[in-house]
Parts: sequence; structure tokens; C-alpha cells
Amino acid sequence: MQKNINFYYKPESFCREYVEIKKDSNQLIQFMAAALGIKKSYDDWFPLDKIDEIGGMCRQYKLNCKFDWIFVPQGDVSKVVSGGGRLPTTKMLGFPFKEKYKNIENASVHVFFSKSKENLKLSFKNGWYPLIIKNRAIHKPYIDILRFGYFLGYPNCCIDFFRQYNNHFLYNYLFEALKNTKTEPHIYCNPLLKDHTFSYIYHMPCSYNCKATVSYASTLRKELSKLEPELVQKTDEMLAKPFLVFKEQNTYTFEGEIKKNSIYYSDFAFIGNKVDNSSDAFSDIMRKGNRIEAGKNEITVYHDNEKIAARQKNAGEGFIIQFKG
Amino acid sequence: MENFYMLFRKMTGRIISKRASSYKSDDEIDETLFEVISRLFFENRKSFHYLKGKALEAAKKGKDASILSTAGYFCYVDCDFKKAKSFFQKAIKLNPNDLEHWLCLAFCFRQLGGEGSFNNIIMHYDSIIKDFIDGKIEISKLSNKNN
Repeated sequence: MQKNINFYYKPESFCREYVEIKKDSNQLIQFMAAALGIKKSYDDWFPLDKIDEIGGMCRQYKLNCKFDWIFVPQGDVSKVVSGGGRLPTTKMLGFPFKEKYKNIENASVHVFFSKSKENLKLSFKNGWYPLIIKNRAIHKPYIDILRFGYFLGYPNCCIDFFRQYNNHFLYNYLFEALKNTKTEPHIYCNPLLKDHTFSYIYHMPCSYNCKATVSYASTLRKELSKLEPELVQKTDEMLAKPFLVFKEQNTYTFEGEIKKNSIYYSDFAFIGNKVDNSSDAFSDIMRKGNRIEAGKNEITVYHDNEKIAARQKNAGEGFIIQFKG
Repeated sequence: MENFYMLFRKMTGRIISKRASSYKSDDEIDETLFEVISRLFFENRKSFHYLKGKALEAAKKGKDASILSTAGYFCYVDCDFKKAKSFFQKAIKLNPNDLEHWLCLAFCFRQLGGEGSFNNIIMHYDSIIKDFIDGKIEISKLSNKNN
């Protein structure tokens, strides 16, 4: 169990450098989309000591790039800070990029990419991370968060939906998108693997059959099919597997099939935060079973018909979904 | 000016009120008014532009830091960053202790291509504010250049 689901992919040729530089393929397709000019702009973290290689990669794909801040892992950054309730889970020591810092060990640099110099400028201005300075969290203005979505090329309908429902205290965004889904969920609108290589999109769609998202993803997929057909085939397969969804960064994907409210599985993988797996509440018990049932109030794991464990769930969390091509 | 306070409340259901956060304290920065104006931009563009015009009118008197920063929010949301910068600078002169005015000024610098000034303010806000209050620096000396 948990042996066969692999989220790594190294391209034959197109954007192979990305994986060689990053040593992972987590957002490979998003980078490809920017390199093809389909995605307006793209930002990601790269090893700081690879800035020369990043420059070479940009020249090869005729991309503009701009370095923002440098981030270094630091143990005591996560202390309590004023305004820290909205901070992301990953916390690092940061300082503005300067070329002279490029030899700092274990550091990452936040980089923006775009075919268009104008889009690069706009996404850079609006795409900075929250900062903790002098025991105080500094967040970018709310309007910049929304603007950033436009400059990354996200559909307007999805940005509007995000504006309404992106409040973790009030809503489960993924469940709201499900409620807004009127027909069968489409694999192009599956955002669950967005940090695990096999996703055509990085945004949270307003529904799992959002027309604008399907249109964007199908354009991208068509171009990728010509360059990396194996990646497209693998992505289609991965996006069409059954998923058990709690919230963003707390989801499971399965090798198996859905029958009624259950997933019958032979393998599974937790899709969560790559640094912190503390939200993974089911892997241990699921290893002992081969069926997981999502009831109204609880999640139950069985081995054949023998009940192994049950856990209570909150309303709107722990839903089963399968996206179709 | 009184009318603008009432008009804003009537049209948005919110009052122009912001808890000032001293740069010396650990108080969380109150971003709610800025967010209300940002939401209005998307939810009712006509009201947004009407209220923006009224905010600019009310800000002409230049004696109320809340009105000046509100005018700054309207301009920032409407991508008029130069004007927004000017309003936040005026608000700082009236109430230099309020860290939020300084951060908004920093955001304007970033939007205007001055990430050096942005970095400078957000990383050294306490010493910059102290120097400003002590009369050691002028607000116009915080340039828009990539320093």
C-alpha cells in the first residue's frame, strides 16, 4: 500500500531543465504553461544557488523573469506574531534578493516568470508573500490578492468566487465549488493535484465544470500533447482517480473505484502540505483497510466488511469525488 | 466632511472607522476599511466611483487622517497609485504613529516600481517612523527609486 502513486515526472525534453533545477516537478505544468505563453505569468520558489541556470532556462524559453525575496529555513520564525492568524503554514526567514547573496546555503528565491514584460511587472507588484517583521505579520492589501489572480491568468468567474468564499473560518472552498457544480466534474477543473505535478490548473475553480477553466485547460492540454504526450496521458489518468476531500492540502487520492458512498481501494496517497503532514488523520488506518466510506457524519474504514475505524467529520468535509474526462 | 461620513455609511453599511495601530505596539493592523472599499469595487462599481469622487472632495480640506487614508484606499483600489501615495503621505503628517498609513505608503511604492523603498519601509518601519517624528527625515525623502 502507498507504493505506486508517484507524483514525480521528468519530461523528455520540453522544460526538462525546470525539474533538473528544482529537483521536483510539483508545478512543472504551470511553468510549461508560462513557457508556452498560455499562462499569463507564474511564480515559484527555486534554489537560490541556481539563479544562473534559471536565467539560462528563461533565455531558452524566451521568458522574462524577476527575483523577489530570498527565503531561508529558520526554526523560530513560527512564534506568535501580531496578525499571524492568516499566515501560511510555511514560514521562513526572508530578505530582499541581491545577487551577492546567491551563495547562501539552503536558501530559496521567489521568482516570477512571464512571456510578457508587462504581465511580469504586474504580477511581481501584487504577488509578494506575507512577511513577519519585528514580531508583526504584514499582509498585502486584499485588492492585491485579487489583482494577482488576474495577472496569473485565472478566469474572472473563479476570482469572483474566490472573493466570496475564500474565508476558511466560514467556508470550505472546495465544498462550495462542489455545491456550485451543476454537471459531472471535469478533470480539467480538478485543482487537487496542483502542487503534485499532474494538474492543468493552479487556481481554485468556481465549479468543477467551470467553462472558462475547461477552455483554458483544454488549450494547454492540446499544446502539451504535441510536446509531452506521456505527461498528458499521466495527468489525465491521475486527475480521474477517486478523491476523498477534506480541505485544501488535506485530500486523499486512490487507486480504486467509487461505489455509492465508498471508495474501494488498493492504494492511496495523502495530498497535503509537503512540509507538514499533521493534517493526515487517515493514512494509518487506511493502510489496514481496503474501503473507505464517507457517511453524513463520519468517515469509516473497512477491510472487506470488517470495520477498522471511524472518525467524525464536519459538515461539508470528507466528500468523495471523481472527475471525468 | 460630516456628509461624507454619513454618505459612506448609507451606501456601504459601514462606518469610516479604523483602529489606529501605533508602530510601538503589537496591535494587529486594522485592514477592514481598506477591504470594504476593495470589495465595493467589485460588488458595486458605480457606488465605488461615486464614493471615490466624494472622498477626494472631502480629502481636499486635508485635516482628517481617516478621510485622507480613505481617499488613499479608493485611489489605490482604482490603480491611481500616485494619488494614493500622496494621500497616505498627508495622513502620515497628521498621524505619524499609525503604522497602517506607512504600510500603505510602502504598498504604493511597490506598485509604482519602487521596491527598494517598499522594502526599506516595511523592514525598518520603527526607525523610519521614529526619525520622522523626531524631524530627522522628511517624508518626501523616502524616494520612489529602486534603492
